[in-house]
Amino acid sequence: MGQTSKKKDWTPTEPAFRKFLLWLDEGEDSKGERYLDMRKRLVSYFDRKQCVAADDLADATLNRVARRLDEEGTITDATPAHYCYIVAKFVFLEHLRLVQPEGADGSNFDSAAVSTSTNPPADQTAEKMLDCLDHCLQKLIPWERTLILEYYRGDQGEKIQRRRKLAEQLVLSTNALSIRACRIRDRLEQCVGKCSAGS
Amino acid sequence: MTHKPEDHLLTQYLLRCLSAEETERLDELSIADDDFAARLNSAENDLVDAYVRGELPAEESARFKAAYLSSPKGREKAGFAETLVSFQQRAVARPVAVRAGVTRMENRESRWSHLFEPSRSFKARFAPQWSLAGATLLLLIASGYLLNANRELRQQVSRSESEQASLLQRDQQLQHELASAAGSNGGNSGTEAPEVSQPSIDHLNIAAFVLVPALRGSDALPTISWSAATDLVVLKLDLESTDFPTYQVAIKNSANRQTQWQSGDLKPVAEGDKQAVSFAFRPNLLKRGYYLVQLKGIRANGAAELVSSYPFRGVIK
Repeated sequence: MGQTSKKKDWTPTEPAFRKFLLWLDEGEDSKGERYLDMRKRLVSYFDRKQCVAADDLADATLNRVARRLDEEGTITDATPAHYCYIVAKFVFLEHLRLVQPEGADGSNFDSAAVSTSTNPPADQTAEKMLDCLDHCLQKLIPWERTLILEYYRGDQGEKIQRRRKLAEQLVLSTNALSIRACRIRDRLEQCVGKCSAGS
Repeated sequence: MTHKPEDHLLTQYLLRCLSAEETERLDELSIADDDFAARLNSAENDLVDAYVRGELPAEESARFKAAYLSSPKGREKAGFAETLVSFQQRAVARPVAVRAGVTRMENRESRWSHLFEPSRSFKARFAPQWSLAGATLLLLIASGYLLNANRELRQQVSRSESEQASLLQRDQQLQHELASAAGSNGGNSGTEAPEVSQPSIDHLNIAAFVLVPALRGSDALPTISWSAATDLVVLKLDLESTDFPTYQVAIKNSANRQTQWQSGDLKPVAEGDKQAVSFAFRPNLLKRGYYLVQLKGIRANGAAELVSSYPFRGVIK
């Protein structure tokens, strides 16, 4: 029990964390970008599984992978991304056992998360969000600002044509354009989230 | 929005309509596969936008509410999408000139309204930046041409020097062989056979190919073929943009994502109005199968960013 508790409280030392980043980068130095990207994927994974504490579970997954790497020295039986998935699966199953009574069929896990609120935000919240979006757009460089607003503009019908035209004018493939637009949107979303939580 | 099979599958996955087996397969890809994760992120953003705009069919809209709005993260994403759509709609509907005493909302919308004028072409929206860059562009083009010409001349000189050194070496070798043969004319059987020189670059068997970035939804997969006699495979990657001073490539096995080969820093080379990076590798590193060339851009601070992927099928003739 003590050992399990010790393992759960384990946090990586700086050298261990640097080693973990290097392993995750597969030899290339992404300056932590790979770690952030992997964390985002894990958060989304746990969120799709309707886990309330998706951020905590993602951090627990990465901590566990880092600990294994620190203890074993190396992990060679799977690619870093695939190994993160394997550990995430175990973390999710453990989490299920904690939130479900024994014998449950697994369909009502994390029931605290189930909420069918579909009400639009209140007027004051909506205005605050718009102000935050305005503020965050100003933090982007002009090229990024125009791309993000143009990429997500228009309804279903015109979007495809507009994006194809945008890709041609920027001399990008539609795939590359999509990746860039998503990255800018992610940054904008985080900025608006922090802004609206802080103000 | 067009409904390619893969887009539809991603939407069904996000709306939790797939079987447990299929869901688990895509769960794994969503974490372990870089390309799939990027496509999923894009599909998710489009799905949330479609819901917020009321563009989803009734059944999908109901599934979206159950799947997305039941989680805090999902509600955050939907909230942001609503804000973005609202922002764009208001800026289009009410362009208001900036003047003293305007409300904060009018001031905010007027700031961006010029981006949404329907008569304004895409290029006109970029006009401020372009007009600023226009004057220096000509100077840059001229400087770039001269630098490029200078670099090409240096490369030619370097190649000539290298060929000359190779010829000189070959000449010396022949001299040595002649001397050895002359020395052994007395019938001495103890002489060594003349050394076989390494083939020069002119005698290498090279297979060269050009790869273009993978297009979303495209089924065409280029084939890279080589034989047992091929010494080097040279690949040239056309670059979609020139955002980075240097690049690195990694050839990965598509099935298990293991890196088979990795390059050092590669400098892009201008070809007309486009740029490309080239690299060569020994084909005996690869077996017949499916591979992916991952191109990463290296920023000045050393950070690496995935730029594009170039899938191909390797075939040994």
